[in-house]
Amino acid sequence: MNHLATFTQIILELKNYWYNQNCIVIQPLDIPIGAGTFHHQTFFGAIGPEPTSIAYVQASRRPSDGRYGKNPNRLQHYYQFQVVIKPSPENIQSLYLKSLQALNIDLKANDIRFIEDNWENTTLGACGQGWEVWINGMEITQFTYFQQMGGINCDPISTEITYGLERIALHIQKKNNVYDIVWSNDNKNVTYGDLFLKNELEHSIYNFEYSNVDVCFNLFQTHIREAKKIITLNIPLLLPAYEHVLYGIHYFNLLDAKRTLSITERQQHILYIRTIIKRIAQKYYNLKK
Amino acid sequence: MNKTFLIEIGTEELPAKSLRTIAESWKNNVIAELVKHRVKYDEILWFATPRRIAIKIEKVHITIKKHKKRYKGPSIPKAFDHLGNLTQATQCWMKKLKIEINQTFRIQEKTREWLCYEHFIESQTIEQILAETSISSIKNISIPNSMKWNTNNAQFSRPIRNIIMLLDKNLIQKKILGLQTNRLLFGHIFMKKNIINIPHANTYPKILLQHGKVIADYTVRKNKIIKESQKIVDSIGGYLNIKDSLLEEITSLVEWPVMLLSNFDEKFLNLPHEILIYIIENQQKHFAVYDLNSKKLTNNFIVISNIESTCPKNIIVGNKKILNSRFFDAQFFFKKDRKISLNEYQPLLKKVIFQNSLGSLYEKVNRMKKLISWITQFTKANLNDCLRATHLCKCDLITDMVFEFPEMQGTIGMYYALYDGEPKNVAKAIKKHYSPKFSKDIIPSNSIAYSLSLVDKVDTLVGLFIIKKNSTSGDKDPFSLRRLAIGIIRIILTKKISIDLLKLLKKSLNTYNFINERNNIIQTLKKFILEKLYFIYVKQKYNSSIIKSVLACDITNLIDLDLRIQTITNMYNSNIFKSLIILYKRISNILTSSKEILYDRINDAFLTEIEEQNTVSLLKYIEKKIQNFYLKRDYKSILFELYNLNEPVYNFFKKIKIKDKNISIKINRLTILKNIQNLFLKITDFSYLC
Repeated sequence: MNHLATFTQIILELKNYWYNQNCIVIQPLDIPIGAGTFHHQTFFGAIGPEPTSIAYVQASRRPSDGRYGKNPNRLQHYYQFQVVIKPSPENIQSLYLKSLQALNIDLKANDIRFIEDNWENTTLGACGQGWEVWINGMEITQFTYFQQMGGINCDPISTEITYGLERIALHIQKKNNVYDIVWSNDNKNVTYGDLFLKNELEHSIYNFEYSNVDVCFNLFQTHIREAKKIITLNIPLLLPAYEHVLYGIHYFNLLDAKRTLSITERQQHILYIRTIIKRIAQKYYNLKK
Repeated sequence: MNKTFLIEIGTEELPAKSLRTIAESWKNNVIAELVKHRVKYDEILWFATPRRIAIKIEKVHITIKKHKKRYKGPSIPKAFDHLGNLTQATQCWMKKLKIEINQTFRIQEKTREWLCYEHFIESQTIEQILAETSISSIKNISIPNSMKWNTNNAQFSRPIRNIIMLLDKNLIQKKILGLQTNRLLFGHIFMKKNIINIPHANTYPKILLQHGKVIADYTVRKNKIIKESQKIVDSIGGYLNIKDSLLEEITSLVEWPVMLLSNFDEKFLNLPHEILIYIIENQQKHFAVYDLNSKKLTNNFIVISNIESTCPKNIIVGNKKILNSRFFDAQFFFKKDRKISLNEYQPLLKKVIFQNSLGSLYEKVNRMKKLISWITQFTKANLNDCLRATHLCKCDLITDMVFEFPEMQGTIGMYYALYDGEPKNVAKAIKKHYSPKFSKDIIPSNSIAYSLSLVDKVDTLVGLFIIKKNSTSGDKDPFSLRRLAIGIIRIILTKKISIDLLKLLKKSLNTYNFINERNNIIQTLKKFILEKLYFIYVKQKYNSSIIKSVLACDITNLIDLDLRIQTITNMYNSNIFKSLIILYKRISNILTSSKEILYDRINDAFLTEIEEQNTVSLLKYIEKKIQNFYLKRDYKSILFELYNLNEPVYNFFKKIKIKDKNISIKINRLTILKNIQNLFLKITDFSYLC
């Protein structure tokens, strides 16, 4: 691989690396979600006893993180590379470090650290112990041993590795600004900015200024109602129900970006989502165990 | 013979904030286990890095004395019946111990004889004991947040990947937490990938240093960090001001600290320095560098990296880049926030819920305004400034900056107030009104700030009692009621605010306008706060009887309470006070043993004896005299005055029989005693001191 790999090459290399570690390389979920963890393959994969081993790129949306395309390092839409393996292999940490080497990151020249970060996602009813992995002070990966998913204790334990692709590209390409990242250099240099700057700007304006609170609230309610309905069917439709909850969470995040929810209201929404997620997880677990 | 014992647990990166506690807790557990097994040793050392914790015991006595254990059976009369046969009790006892009668013997203790059995405890080898000690000491380490990592159900702070257990040269074979012990040490994860075969327990931690690029000794690492960072700042005329908790955290983050100087974009120095320092220290784990002369923050900082890099420039530049981008984010929020003044955020407090059913923060602030208008007469703070500070104190909770950096609440408010040209005192009070936040936190010196802090805390505490969140069962205090109460007490006492607690609570309760059972709430609250007060004094090693005696007087002015406790504590061991206690006891004994209904006041017509008359006139004189001392709360002088009664009253007892034939005279004499007792009780309830 070229020393200064393009964004595309970084993705290809990671796919290749984990493919060679016997991961099934799947494709992103086609729903707006806040992190790779929400992909149904990860969510359901972490529940229950059967082994899993998957890797994929996932687009992630966090409306509150929009900075109108002005911040060199914060985006409301970005890409994660996600690896989930269950049960967690004994050498998982060294597998991860080798993946960095595969990206030509020099482990002897950079300061790589594992900083405690116990991950928790209240809406998913999930938690785990792990680290932020830092390279010279910049977080490039979240490394987690899931302890709970959908409110169910994980057994066996899965390891989740989530790479922040833009952050890794910033490091590899020695760029200061995410929009300067070279996406592809086949014929002409296409940058991250060429592809996404306008996207960032427009979505920031929308998320913070023009999104309609009533619309978002209604969509939230509609999706959650639909989810509730289809989990109570005689033969519950758990995957579609889960996906409706994901849509609901996205509209909740949009409401959150506008700071329209008071602290307690916000908490109530989160708890409401969690109860439904837990019911889905429990039903799924009962089918699988 | 003595040997060295070593156990090292190799882990994935342990949480820096609890590393030290984990290692020390382990060491203490090992000590306790060794005591239990009667193992003697010279010294016990602990080691800790992010990737390992270890215990080394030097000069373990490996010869273990066999010891006899004695089992006492039934006493002889109960052991045999009158024919000399074994009783049921003896048979049961022997069956339990699996022994025959010929293995027993008799012992004489005092006047009785017993059946007895002794045997030598089959002693374990030292290896067995050390392995057992290791297992249970690990199991009992107090871990704030434990996890599972594989299928064997083992739990620890982070995954354990390796365990070494050596006694001198010998490997102690054992399976611990699903892992087989071995003698392989792992060097620094990036600098030395090699695995080191450790030949002897006493080569630890030297071997790690020489072959593994790991400083296992926590203190050595810590000192290296301080020393080398100091060297760097000395070379640039800088100054370090390292918080202890940060130094501990950083020491726990590295196996091989290498200090590097970096800097961020100077333009960010325009942002509030607290924010910059927060990001530098708490988020990025660097040392901020200040100017040696002005002690002001500079744009230099020290990176404590974990590697002797082949290209240190990477680390310097990388850290600089990330710090700049974090500051950039802070600046973004800052600019966004500053589009309107702090004052303009005030109406927006309406949409922030303070506590479910206690309304919004806007309403809380309005209640606080009412309360502070009343309280300033006691705190002597400027009313207008107080009102302004109250008006603004919660505004920053709406800002993006506080949303992003919640720990900065108050501080952000202060800065924004200063930019708006609010008075300095007011701005400072906005920052400081959350203090004291914990029991040893500093109390603000600014009178606006502590008035506001007091009002804020009282309002919250009262509110939580109204909605019945006042259960503090067990150790949990989810709404930090204790912390609030202690904060209130500490402010009042430290700042000598002579305020009546009951009135304060009532005033605050009246600012809430939807409650029934007012009296109930006030009484439970009063009890709650005074209980906390009691524990504060107990913690400061005051005599608990003294505290109880004063608290029994139902005084609700905390300053008054404190003065009494102080005065009595100071005089408690003096002869004067001891005599007062004896005197009180004597009087009180007589009064409790008599059943008569006493007069309301002493009737001079029944004073028959001269000693009686003298006592009464002295009593009246003293009563009058101490009235003045009470106004001045001069309890010491009151005690001295009471002491003047000592001799006359003893004379009275000596010369006069209380039980006179004439019932009226008798009752009158008891009434005199009652009056004296009342005088005592005005200062404190002496019955707790008898």
